[in-house]
Amino acid sequence: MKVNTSFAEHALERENVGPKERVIMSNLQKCTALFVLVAMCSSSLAGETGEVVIHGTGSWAVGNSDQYEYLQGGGEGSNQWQNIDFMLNLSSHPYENLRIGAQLWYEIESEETEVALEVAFAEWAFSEVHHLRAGLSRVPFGIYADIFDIGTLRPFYSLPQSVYGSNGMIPEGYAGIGLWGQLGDGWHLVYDLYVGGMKTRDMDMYMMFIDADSGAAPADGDEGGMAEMSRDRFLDDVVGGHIQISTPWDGLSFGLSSYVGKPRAEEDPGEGESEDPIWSDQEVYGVQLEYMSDALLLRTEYIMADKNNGSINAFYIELAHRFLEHWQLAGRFESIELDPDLEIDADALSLLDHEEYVIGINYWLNPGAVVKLAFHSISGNLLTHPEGGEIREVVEAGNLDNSTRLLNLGVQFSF
Amino acid sequence: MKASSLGLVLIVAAFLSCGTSAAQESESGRPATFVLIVNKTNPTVSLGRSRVVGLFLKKSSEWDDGSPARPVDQAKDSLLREAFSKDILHKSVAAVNSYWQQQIFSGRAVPLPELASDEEVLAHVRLNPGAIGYVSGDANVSAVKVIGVDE
Repeated sequence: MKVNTSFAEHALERENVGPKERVIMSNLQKCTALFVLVAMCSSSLAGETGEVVIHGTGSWAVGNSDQYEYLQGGGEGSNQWQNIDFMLNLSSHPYENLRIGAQLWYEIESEETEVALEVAFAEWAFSEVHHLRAGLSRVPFGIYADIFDIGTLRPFYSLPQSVYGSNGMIPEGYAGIGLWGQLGDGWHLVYDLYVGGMKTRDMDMYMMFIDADSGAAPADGDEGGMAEMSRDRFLDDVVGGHIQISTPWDGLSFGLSSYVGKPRAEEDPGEGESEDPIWSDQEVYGVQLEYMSDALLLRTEYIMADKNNGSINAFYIELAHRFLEHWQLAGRFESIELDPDLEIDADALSLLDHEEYVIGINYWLNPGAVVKLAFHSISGNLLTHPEGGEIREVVEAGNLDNSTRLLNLGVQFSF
Repeated sequence: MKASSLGLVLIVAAFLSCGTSAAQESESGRPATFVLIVNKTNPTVSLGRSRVVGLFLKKSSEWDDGSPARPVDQAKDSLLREAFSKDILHKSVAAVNSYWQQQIFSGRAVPLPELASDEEVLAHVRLNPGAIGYVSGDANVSAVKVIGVDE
């Protein structure tokens, strides 16, 4: 599953580079891929100074959703087979205190192929309490944001979409400078502080159904309008932090996360188009609790966000139990609710909510490879709704179905 | 080859390679006992269990005098590692593997160097002042120093 597009692309968009630079970037990515493959064949995997350490992860799934498109399901009962992704992680210590990290991402989804350099940073360790990092890094937010794509670190094929989906709250990465460190043995604290820029993906379909009495104009409902509703948004001057505290009780930890950033206004609006209104800062806060033993896994998070166009509250809890050595049973409940500043047409209110129950069973071939089968029952249309220009027609006809079910089968591995 | 086919081949190949590692088993059938060892120049006599956990999970990377600690692990499929993981880390090898995956992909750390035998661990600890490792209870530890673990 991949919600946001590549952060390298983000950097390109930020700089407004032309096609020539994009070709150079594309070649750079290919060279990186080649380098990684060569390194895979030649390096020892010890992690000592001067050596390159290679790890990777990947997934494939088939999904079927009965109503609208959601995750691996293409909607209307059709099977969607093209859900493939693969990521290589490269790490090296050229010198004792210097570490270089990179992640190369390859994805095929619904016939579209994407290759991206998602992480590229250099880090200097002053001590174990202070590591200074610069470049493109995963966002340290909550339990999953810095391990977004690693299927073997979670009980379901996909992350809880209420918190980690296209809701504009948790981006996959930031471009900037970060400081992190850890201290303590029994009580163990890991902290992160970072500044820079981010890209999030919003899917504000409800914006097409703003009540005319509210004084604001609804967005277009055609294809272009849809694209406008589902788009990448950039945050500048981001300041964020995360702490995670592991307790002396094995496997029990909790944490807090937050960031504040300035949404970037649209540049050069076209003729006849209005500029974005003055945007207020986006503030996002999260709390997390986790218990993990050999057999039992419990994770829960609550996120609240104050955005330009309203507020968001999101929550999930997931529980998984291993049995008979290889098997795992898992369940999850999640919920997200948008509270926009503007009034929405009554027929479109389900576009503000998403509730989901998931049950799944997994077979672990070994700690690095798992087969997962899950059934999702969704109510609300925030994340599942008609695609293209159909949504306005469907809503106005009163035909918006607020329930979707998804069945998916997938394999995930990491090494 | 189409991109999608190439992707599928990559996935299958990597998935199968993950599966083969689980098939390896130690030939020793007897219960594994281990001792914790450090370099002879290391003044440490014993360590608390949480301190050992910190060193072997890279939650701390220094000795008390500020010098760098260099822990090494045994091979993933060894019974000794299984016993060490259970008795000291209080986790299964699978759970420790998950912990390292989290560290790797979040860009925080990479796993400890893995050495294939007691002899390699003994040689590493003998030659490196900051080293710490564990070997079988019946290994020849005359060239290194055995330390205790306090609960």
